[in-house]
Amino acid sequence: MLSNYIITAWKVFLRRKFFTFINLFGISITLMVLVVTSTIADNYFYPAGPEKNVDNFRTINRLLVTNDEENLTSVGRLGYKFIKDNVFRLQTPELISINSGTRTRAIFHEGLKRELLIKKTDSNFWRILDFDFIQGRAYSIDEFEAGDKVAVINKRTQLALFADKSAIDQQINIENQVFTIIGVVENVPIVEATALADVWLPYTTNASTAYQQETTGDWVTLLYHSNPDIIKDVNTEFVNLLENDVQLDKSSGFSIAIAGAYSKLEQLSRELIADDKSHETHTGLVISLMIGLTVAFMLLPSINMINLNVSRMMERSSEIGVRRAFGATKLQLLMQFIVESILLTLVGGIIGILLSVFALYLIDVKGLIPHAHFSFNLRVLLIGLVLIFIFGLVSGVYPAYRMSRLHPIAALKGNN
Amino acid sequence: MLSLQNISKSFQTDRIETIALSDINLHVNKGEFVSVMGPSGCGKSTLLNIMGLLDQPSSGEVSIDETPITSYKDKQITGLRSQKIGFIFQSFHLIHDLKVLDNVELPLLYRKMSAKERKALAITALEKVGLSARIHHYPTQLSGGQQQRVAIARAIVGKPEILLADEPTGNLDSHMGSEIMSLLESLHQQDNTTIVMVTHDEEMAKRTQRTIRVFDGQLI
Repeated sequence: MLSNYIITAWKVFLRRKFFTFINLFGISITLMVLVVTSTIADNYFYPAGPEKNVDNFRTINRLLVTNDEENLTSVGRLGYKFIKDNVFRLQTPELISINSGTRTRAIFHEGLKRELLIKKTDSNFWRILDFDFIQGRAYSIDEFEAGDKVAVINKRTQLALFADKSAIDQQINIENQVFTIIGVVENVPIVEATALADVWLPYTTNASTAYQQETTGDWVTLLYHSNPDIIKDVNTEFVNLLENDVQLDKSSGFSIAIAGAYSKLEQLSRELIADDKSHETHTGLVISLMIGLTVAFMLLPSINMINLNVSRMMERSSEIGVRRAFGATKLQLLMQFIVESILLTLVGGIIGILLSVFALYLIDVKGLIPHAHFSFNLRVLLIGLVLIFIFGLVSGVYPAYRMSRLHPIAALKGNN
Repeated sequence: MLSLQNISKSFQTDRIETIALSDINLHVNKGEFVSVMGPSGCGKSTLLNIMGLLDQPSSGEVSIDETPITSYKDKQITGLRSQKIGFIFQSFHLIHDLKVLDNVELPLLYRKMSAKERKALAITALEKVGLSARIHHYPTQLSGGQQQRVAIARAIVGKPEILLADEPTGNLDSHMGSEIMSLLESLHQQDNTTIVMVTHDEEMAKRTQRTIRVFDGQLI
């Protein structure tokens, strides 16, 4: 019977080409947008670049300090002194890294001005994040502590500055200091903001040491443990420490510090629904919002398709009457229309997935999202298949159910 | 073969109750060719729908082969329709998305049968109505008379014992109508099929063995 349903469905699609086209267009475009969005989100939450061990570390990148009266407040990235006095007292992490926010700096190379993203880090930065070295190496703890003027650059910078030549041992002038390049890494996708830069330098090469006295500043901290289950608990330890034994410079006037060590999802949630005075991450709410947006996005074409399917089936009421008269049960009719709907959604889904692969390829080739390598992975494929299935059911079952319930005489009269 | 006992049918609308059939008693013998006549709205089609188990009476009993089917559930009634009854409609009701052959095969889809058997039976039915050369056409590519022949092939493909025709010549000119009537006559004679036909046309009715007249929902 199933083969009959499929054959009938196929004949109907071929005969009603415009309807089939409209339906396929609606399904495939909706699915393409959802799959491309899912792939980008997937790349954000499950990075393929240096942040690929995302489950093993947490980031502290925002701090609110205030006094008891709350009339003196400062919010921003962390100060070096605050990190040394507080974050370094944490017991949970195996490794702690301090690195600066990314700054754009103009450099001059062979008479040409280039703008590069500069990040200053310690040596633990290279141990926590999993960079892909094309040439050379990262700076060691000895080089870092000695304040050696060494640099790691990305592939894009290597090509821009040195073309085909090896960049290793070449020199680069940044902020009036000359650095020797010791490593070249693959470009970092823009969605991996913690690792992202064009050039990485040891922060011990800073001309001034004034930053070492700051409570708030321009620093980010990475907390790492080789066991993802253990690092999960670091936020609780950090929050307890800040609530019960925070060390703040008395001269600054601050007495209260609020910050948290968050995963990527928690960070995103806090950025979207930020309340610096609370530790609440609102991840549940953000996930619900994402699901809600996806549902809302799918709802419009679904309602459209339900409408289209109902009116199309109304046109076919005579067929329904004939089939009922000649022995089709309600269940058989229901199955026939569901198979039609699922088959159409499946074909639309396959086209949608092919369009998504093409769209992701375009995003990759055109560099719309810098250095991101979006590939169609199994997880996204599964999401796509689930979306197709839901879409097919939502848009097909209701009209099919309605039509299968039609009384044969009413159907034959076209009286719906 | 087909028996109606004390059949009444009324339709309830918001305000009024319309009585379509009132206390009908009718017996159609096996192999009989019966016509049903009456003015528009007198209940002819309702009578035919009840005979064809497409509609249920408000009261009374329908029996097929001496078996009352009043207590049958929808699935059993559907099965009985599939096995024993073929329908011919005034406006043909062919499925325009399907080719002639697929239209004729349709009643067999709801029986346990291979695709090969279905196709063979459909071609035989189309040969009987003289349309075996049109199996790959779509209904819209055929004339009205040809479409009704396809509808007749569809009605007889499952070799039903009863053929119910609701004004089968109503949408055709007199020449085409006469051809269709001849076809029904030959089916009746060759296969001994029981035929009940609703018609407005006295000439067509004269060609049947018995004419039942309905007026205001009652047999006269």
